[in-house]
Amino acid sequence: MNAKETSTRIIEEIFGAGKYDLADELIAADAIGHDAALPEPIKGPEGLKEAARSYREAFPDLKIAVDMAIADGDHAAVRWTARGTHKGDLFGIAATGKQATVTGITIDRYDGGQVVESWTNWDTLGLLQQIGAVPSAMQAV
Amino acid sequence: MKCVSESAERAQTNMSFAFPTPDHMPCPSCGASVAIADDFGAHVCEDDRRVEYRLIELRAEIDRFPDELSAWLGSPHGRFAQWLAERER
Repeated sequence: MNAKETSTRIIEEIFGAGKYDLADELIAADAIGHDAALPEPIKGPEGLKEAARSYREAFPDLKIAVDMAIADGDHAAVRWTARGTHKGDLFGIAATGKQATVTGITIDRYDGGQVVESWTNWDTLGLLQQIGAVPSAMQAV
Repeated sequence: MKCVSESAERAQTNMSFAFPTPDHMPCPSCGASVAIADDFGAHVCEDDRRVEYRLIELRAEIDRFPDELSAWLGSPHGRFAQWLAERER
């Protein structure tokens, strides 16, 4: 499995389908992940499972599709689109029942076939607007 | 003497700024995510989603209902309604 395939599986299967155990196979024990929306770095496979669980608890029907994957040396990058219904607490915001669609980009660095460092930036503002936590120019369509 | 500094006034003005609308927004009737670029009028709500969305919107009211009912049943109106219902049963 190459880096593009691995990065795709992390997004689509761990985050998008709740296959948490995959993290033990694909993420190095001392890996560190940087998600701009989270206050603390994600540490190792357990940290990734916890992050994925927290997103999936807020959006139980979460589905994520990788739109593009590229690789360069020991790095791979994926551009993805996520969609889910806000049915649980997210960042302290109670369920709204609103469905949201957001995009993001994750860059993974590999060593020995596993991810050792990761950086994710996603449209947090867009999500907060879609669930009504932050005003937008068009509050209701 | 001015109580509000110019920078504070500027900040207050900036607070009224609305962020740009995202690519998708939830349908106000059923909460489904709909692309703004698409013809929003073409969106058709699914009945199941609309009911589920409405239930979540009413969750606080539903949670309060047992306490409110109990309080009402203990009020003069509530006690009379119970007496009347019992008599007409």
